[in-house]
Amino acid sequence: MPPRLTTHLKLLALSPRLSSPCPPLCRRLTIVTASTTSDPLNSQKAQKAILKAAHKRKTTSFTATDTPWQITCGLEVHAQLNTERKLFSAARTSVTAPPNTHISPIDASLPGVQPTLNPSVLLPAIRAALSFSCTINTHSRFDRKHYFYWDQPAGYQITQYYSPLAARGHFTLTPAWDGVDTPIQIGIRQVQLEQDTGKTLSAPPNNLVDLNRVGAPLVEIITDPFPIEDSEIAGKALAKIQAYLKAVDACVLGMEWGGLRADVNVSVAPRGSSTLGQRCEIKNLSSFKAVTDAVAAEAKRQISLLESGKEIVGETRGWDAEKGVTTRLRGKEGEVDYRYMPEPDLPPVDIAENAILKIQETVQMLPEEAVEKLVNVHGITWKDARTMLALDDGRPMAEGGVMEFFTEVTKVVQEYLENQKKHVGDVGRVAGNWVLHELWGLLTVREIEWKDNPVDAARMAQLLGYLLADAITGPTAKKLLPRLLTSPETPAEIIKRENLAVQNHTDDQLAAIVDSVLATPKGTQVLEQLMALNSIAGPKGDKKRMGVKSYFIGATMKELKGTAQAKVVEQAVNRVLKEKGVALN
Amino acid sequence: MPLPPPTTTVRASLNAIARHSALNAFVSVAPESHLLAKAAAAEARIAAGSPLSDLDGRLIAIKDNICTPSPLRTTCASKILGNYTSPISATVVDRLEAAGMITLGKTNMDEFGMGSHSVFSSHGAVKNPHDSDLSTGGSSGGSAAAVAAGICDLALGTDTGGSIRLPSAYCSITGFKPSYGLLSRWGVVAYANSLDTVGILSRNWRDARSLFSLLSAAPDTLDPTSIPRPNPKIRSSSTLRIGIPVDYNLHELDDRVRSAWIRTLESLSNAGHEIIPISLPNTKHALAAYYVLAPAEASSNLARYDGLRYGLRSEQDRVNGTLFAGTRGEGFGEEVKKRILLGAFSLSAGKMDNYFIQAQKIRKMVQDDFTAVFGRDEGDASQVDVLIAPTSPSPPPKIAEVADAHGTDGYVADVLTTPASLAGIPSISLPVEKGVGMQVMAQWGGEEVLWKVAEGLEEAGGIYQLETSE
Repeated sequence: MPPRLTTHLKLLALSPRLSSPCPPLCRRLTIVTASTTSDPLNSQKAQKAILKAAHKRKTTSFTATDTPWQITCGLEVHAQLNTERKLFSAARTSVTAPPNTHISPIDASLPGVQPTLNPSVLLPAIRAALSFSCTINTHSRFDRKHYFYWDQPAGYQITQYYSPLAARGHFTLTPAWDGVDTPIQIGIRQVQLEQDTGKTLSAPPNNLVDLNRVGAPLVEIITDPFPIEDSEIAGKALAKIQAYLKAVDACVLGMEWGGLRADVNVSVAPRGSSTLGQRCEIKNLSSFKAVTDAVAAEAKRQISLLESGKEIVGETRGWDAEKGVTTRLRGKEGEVDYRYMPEPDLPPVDIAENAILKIQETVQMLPEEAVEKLVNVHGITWKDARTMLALDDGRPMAEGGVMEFFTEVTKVVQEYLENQKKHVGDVGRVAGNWVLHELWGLLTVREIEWKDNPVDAARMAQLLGYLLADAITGPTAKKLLPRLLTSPETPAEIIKRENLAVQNHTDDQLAAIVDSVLATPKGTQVLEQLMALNSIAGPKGDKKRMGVKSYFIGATMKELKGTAQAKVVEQAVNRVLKEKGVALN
Repeated sequence: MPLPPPTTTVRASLNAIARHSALNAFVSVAPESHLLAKAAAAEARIAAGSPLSDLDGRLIAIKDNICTPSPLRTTCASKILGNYTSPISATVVDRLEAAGMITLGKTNMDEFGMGSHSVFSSHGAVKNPHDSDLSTGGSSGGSAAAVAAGICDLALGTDTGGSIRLPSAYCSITGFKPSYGLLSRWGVVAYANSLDTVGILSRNWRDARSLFSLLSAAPDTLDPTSIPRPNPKIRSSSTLRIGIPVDYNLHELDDRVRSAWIRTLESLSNAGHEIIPISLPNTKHALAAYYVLAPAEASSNLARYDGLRYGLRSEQDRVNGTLFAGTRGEGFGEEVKKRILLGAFSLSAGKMDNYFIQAQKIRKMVQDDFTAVFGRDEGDASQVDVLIAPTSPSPPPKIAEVADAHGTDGYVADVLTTPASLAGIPSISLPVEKGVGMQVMAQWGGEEVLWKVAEGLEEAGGIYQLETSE
């Protein structure tokens, strides 16, 4: 009985049944798993997660497939780069600090200050752009975008309008990952750096302004217009952008912290039209659901206008989630003239070609690549690989994450086996099972978070190395693992002290132990049962005899205290039983 | 001639400020006790033979758009910053104080540096110490008047399109605008960032050289446009090739100015220097380009003055819900409003290409004109080492005439100074007679050769000397 079989069975027992009947919900859940949620192993937890995800994603999507209309969408996504300091000042970025405690004279735009680019923002921004296969411009510049608002002290925002950091990229929504029917490639027009504004807290009759966020570094990702059959595609595109930003560790996570905000352009044109319809922009959407719902509502609004013979007026609209409608914020005549002007204080950003190559090397793999590598190179299942990614919060090979741990364990085990001249074909799959199901299962039961996992990769690898080299049995390994959680000892130390290693028993030694088991009252009783089965011939009898026989194997192994492999024990049991006249083939 | 001890100078200067209060040169003066304490400390260091620098204990006046530590306010001669005290101090102020220099007070100016005669000030117009009916020039008029009146030997100003050189010429003193990027702008309130240059007004070009050397000793990490001082090799020849830009010989040039120009060139030629007529063909476009670019940047820079966080807040904006319209309406003077509107217009979506972009192209052409005559790098077959031309087309006009000028008439005084500003090259205006200055221009980073010309002109007796009591 190879240990991995047991683990595998256990996995089946614990896994949430994603394919069980509840079609619409599960279809959506598959999508969700594509980018965000975990593939939990504990059934209760799994159920909770499913319900939570279903609740969160109850979107009001709109499908245009059966209509004569073609909907086109474009996203402008703002995400806060995860740097310690602001874009142009030494003040620290912060989400939770008390209001107005992280402001430098530069952030407050006091008279006489100049901004100085914090070069550390370039790394995450370039990583973000590279994740969308953008071309990094070796020469980019900053511009001022003017408008008055009380949470923007300079009266302008520093952004990159004329020469952005990066341009011309793309990403693809796929059936496997994103739950779309066919792959959809979405172009990225440009990726630019810009400053965030402050926050306004409404406290009637006042507005309270918190400038902590002023000057926080943002990356803005602007997509090309893309046709959509279903408004969900727009939400999925936003989810994908977020998944990539997460994967390359570029951004502050969590939309609830204002880490990600999107403006969405929507237009409608008759199917087959060579030109796009008049577009309307919906401002400030901060979740996948809001994007999906707002695009659905806006598309319906535009279609109903067009169908009643009216024209679409180009305007900026807001999203009223309560009522489920978009509302007019301002029309063309009220458009702000931003009076873009090159920022005269900031020199251009010049990035050397070889620096870009260097950064490219350090860019973590995208989620799809990472999972494919685990599946193809290490032979673990697609689902296990996706689970690891989810446990690592969508960041492939995140430092201290499950994927990194698994890869390290596999590497060490393989080296060990090579030194031992042992050829084991599926080290990766076994290691995957043990890391994900045995170890993570134990941690979950004990409510230990992964980051607090007390079992280091070296001890885990030693345990699996012994197991795969047949130096210990599966049951022994499974008994040892929980002990590694509570004790700093290595498996080798415990095995040596407690004589748990598999030994070379002679046939006579084994036969003696089997005999002793047969001599017990229970043994005598079971042997009688077995002899009684001799009369049943054929496979039916064999099956029955096998079932009864397993008692002797188990009991003998118990006597041997894990020092012999099950296969060896079974052979010894067979030999003894045959001598006693049991009909075994 | 040894200088009097700092404490003596402080007392004399404070007396002079009081005596010359009608000039309206200062908008705030440091407390006497503070000045005397600083002066006494400097005196002790000098007596002990360990001065902090060769300018230790020297007094200096600071233009009011350069941030100084409390209690001195920084108002930019604007009502909108009428009570503003800056929490930061300018790098140039920190450096001169670290060298033992003593900040006497803040000088009057055109509001935010916008003006050529120092009449657009919330503190009232500055008077020319030589003749109160005449323009002081601007916008660093207070600094120029303070130096010309003998209140102090040195003052800091800012020059965006001629704001140091013009008042220096009108007040018969030395006005030095260094290469863009060599003096830090941190703490200098922006008018037009790409042109704003901190510079020095002085009675004596040698003081200007000492102070420049001190302030430009190292680049400033707080100013993203700060550049390390270059070390260009000057041609070893003892004589210079001096270019006369023929395009500066305007039809409108005042006869006194033209004859002073010729006299200056003659004296340098007599001293053995070579005089070469050259052409800077785009000079005629420079003024127009300047008055597109500077207001454009100004409209952007001044957007921050909304009264919400600091500065003036109009009562109207507290009660009417207009938020900042009242504050900006009351807080800015007419000239500033005019330039904000002009700038907003030339940056607007429909106008950007025809105004701002065209002006940027002209700026590049003006720059290329200078590079064509100076050469770009060391070893280039340059035609000339320096250019000499009048600082202003005329001696100081009457204030009454300037005040009557409409629209853009007043801008014409800047026609000869704006090219060097657009190009970012160094230029020093040396007084050659009362009210007339000659500006010497060199390639970017070529300050050393300017001093050489100043020295040569001084030796040839070509520099006008102010009487000490003036």
